[in-house]
Amino acid sequence: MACFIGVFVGTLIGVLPGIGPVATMSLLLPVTYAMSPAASIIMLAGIYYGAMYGGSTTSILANIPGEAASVVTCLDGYQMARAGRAGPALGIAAFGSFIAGTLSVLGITLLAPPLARAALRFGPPEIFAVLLLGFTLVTHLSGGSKLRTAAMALLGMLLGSIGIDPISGVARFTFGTLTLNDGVGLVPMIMGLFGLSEVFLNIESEIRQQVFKARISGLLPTRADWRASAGPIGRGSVLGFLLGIVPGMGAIIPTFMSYALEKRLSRHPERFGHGAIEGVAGPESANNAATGGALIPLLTLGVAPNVPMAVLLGAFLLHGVQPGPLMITERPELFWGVVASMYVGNVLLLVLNLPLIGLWVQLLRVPYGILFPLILLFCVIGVWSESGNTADLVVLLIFGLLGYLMKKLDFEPAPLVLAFVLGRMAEEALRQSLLLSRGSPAILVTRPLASAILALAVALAVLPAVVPAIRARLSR
Amino acid sequence: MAWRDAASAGLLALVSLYALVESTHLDAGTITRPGPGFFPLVLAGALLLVSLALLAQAWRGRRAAASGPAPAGDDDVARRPWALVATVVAFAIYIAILEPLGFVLATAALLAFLFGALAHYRWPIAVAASLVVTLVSYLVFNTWLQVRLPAGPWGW
Repeated sequence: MACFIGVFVGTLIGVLPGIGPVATMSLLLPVTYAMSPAASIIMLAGIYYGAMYGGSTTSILANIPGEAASVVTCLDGYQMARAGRAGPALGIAAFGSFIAGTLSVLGITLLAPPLARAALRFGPPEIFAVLLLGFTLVTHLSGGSKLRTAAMALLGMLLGSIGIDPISGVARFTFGTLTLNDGVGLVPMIMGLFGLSEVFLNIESEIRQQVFKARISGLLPTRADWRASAGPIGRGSVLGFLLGIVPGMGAIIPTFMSYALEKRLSRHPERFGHGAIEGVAGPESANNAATGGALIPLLTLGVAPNVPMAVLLGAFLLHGVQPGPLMITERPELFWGVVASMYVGNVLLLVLNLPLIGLWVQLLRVPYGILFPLILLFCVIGVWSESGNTADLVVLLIFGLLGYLMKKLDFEPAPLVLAFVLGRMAEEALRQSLLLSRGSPAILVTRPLASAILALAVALAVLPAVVPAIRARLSR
Repeated sequence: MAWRDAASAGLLALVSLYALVESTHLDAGTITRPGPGFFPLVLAGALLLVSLALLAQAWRGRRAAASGPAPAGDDDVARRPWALVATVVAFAIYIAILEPLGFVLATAALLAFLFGALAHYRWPIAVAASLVVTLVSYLVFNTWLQVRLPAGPWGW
């Protein structure tokens, strides 16, 4: 029952843009006080992975990410909806989430302790190496010219450096205002870049006509869709799960990496950004698998790898339970209860979400004249609920205009968002590494795990340039 | 020379120049001990180079091969730039009055304007619809989900 409430609330807040899992979990934390420890953890965890299910819905229907980890889903999901394929997009997102969620719980069941030990060896140098790996994939995110992508990535990183410097505490680019001390908020930024800018673009063209002229065809993914999505779902699951374990990764970076990976592997990369179902299946699987992965350090080591897990840790402590290596042996009913509930929760989510698809698709028949004020309202409430600050609404408006300009001038928002997320973390990780090593950059290559990941990143960056040349020589 | 590209590249160059100047005020540190200004300096410099390259590209009139979809509203639909301006201005006013007037009044006003002036619904319908939407969202988010929406002088 607690599981059902959790996943139900989770789906709901996932669908409602802006109201993220962190805010909801914190709000409901006191409510769980009256419940048994197992029930409260099960419910709170359900909210988290339920949100990952629901987050895709508004991304696909209205280009507004339901929560941050569904930004990538906007790229192809929204294009699919515009082509009348919202049903298959929502369907594959739900199935992909289900498969990935179940696989990651299976992963927890079988591999939790050894993986947790490996995750502990991730210090700043290793994290920096993983982030660098992410950067090599940025260029694959967009279809346009490399130079334009680089410009957007650099702009994203510059935006990421706004705010109090995490190491020295110096304010950077804050224009003397207090509100920018915490940096630019991710939620107002992506809602502006994706949701609001789309409204601006649509308003400018004649409003009376239907946005979705194409007939809505089919509610469920076809067999061809399945064939195209099987690989992305599998790879997204593994990628998301492994990255989820790494402290500080969260669920956003795995989705970007999965998207870039699928585009890289695809025989038709040009279809990405125009409604490729692989571009929905992979990232949606990755964000669900990441939630499972993130539970591992928490349950086995008592270390919270990201913010939602920190809230969950708080819930454990509230109930007088210290999660960690001893919990599996001392409170097995708690550990396995949570794990078992996640199997059930994933089934519940699938059952809950599939019938809703038909309903969501009907929403697209609503004339845009009615829809766009509502989209605007959702953006406002979403941003407000996160910070309760009108300055963030200004940020929302600014990024809405920026996103509008970028679309007019053929710049793509995805590299900017990824670079924004990665840049901030990469700078911190690199500078921490250098502090650790007292200024010697050798720390990045002398630690085995870091050097291995770094080598992979270099290989990925260099290979695309080298391989065609070798191929050409061989074929001659 | 492609004017649109030149304009965007010029804009980016200006942004990077500003960031460059600003980051010189921060302590850059050294390569092995980067200070708070180190990365902004490098990033701004790199962005300046890239935007100059884009500018050069635009100058030679070579349009970067953009495989992206044509921007919405490019040719086949009627453009209404005033609608965009009106929406942005309305939204800016909304942000300004949100806290003094409270969520319910400000939102109802914004929605009524959008429904009535931009979507061309008849005014009585627009006003009624905006009131319903505002009240429903207020109940759902403020009362039920406990999101603290801005309260005006009357508590709503």
